[in-house]
Amino acid sequence: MTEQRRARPLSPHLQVYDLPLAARISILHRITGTALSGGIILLVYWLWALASGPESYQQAQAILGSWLGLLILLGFSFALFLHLCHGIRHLIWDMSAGLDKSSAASSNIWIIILTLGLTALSWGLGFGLA
Amino acid sequence: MDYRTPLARARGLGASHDGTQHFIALRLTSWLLVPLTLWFVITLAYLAHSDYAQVMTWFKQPINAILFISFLLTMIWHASLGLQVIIEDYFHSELLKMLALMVLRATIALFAISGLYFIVRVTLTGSLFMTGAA
Repeated sequence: MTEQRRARPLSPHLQVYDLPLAARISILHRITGTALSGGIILLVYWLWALASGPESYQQAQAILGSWLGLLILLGFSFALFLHLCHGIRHLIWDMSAGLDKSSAASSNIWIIILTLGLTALSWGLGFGLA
Repeated sequence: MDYRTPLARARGLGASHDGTQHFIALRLTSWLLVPLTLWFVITLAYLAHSDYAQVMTWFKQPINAILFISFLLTMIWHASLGLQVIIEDYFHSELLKMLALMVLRATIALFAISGLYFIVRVTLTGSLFMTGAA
């Protein structure tokens, strides 16, 4: 009885199931989407500071330019590009393309490469290196 | 075998009563946001080097202000649709779900209106319309 029970397949309990990469990226899509929605507050704050005059704008730029501000912006840029790249995969999937296992495995890698590459490129552009 | 009543079949809306429009709007905003997001990132990288006067001058160009507003409103609409799905997935009490959706819509509307107002204010600062105030 116990032997038979042990042989039965387990349903994928989140605590014990080793999620495939595509599933991890899929969960990150939701998390980054939620985080980026919070970024609306930051964007509207920046617009408020700009509309309120030079002093408040300089204060906002100083906050965003501090190491903590830059770290938050780095996080937002990474989240933005991950959400963008995975979002584009969703749009391709909507057209019934790339849905098989091997295509999903290679698009996983492309998402990671493009996310890191675009994040680095945007910061290179921001610092005037590109 | 279809267990639905003839009326439910005629309405064709399923158990959640809507969804198709949400699905299409989410995809449409996704497609629009691909170029708009790339434009937005390049813009921020450019504006990061600019001082107050340069940013104000940048916003005075109609194409810049229009694209910024397009990005802002499309992105906020997209965020609203996405957050709605998350609320619908994780709130199991019908009452709490409805309350959360109302709070979401009101908050999203507040940020959309505020963002739009600030951009319009920036573009009109120093113009004929605001000579008295400025």
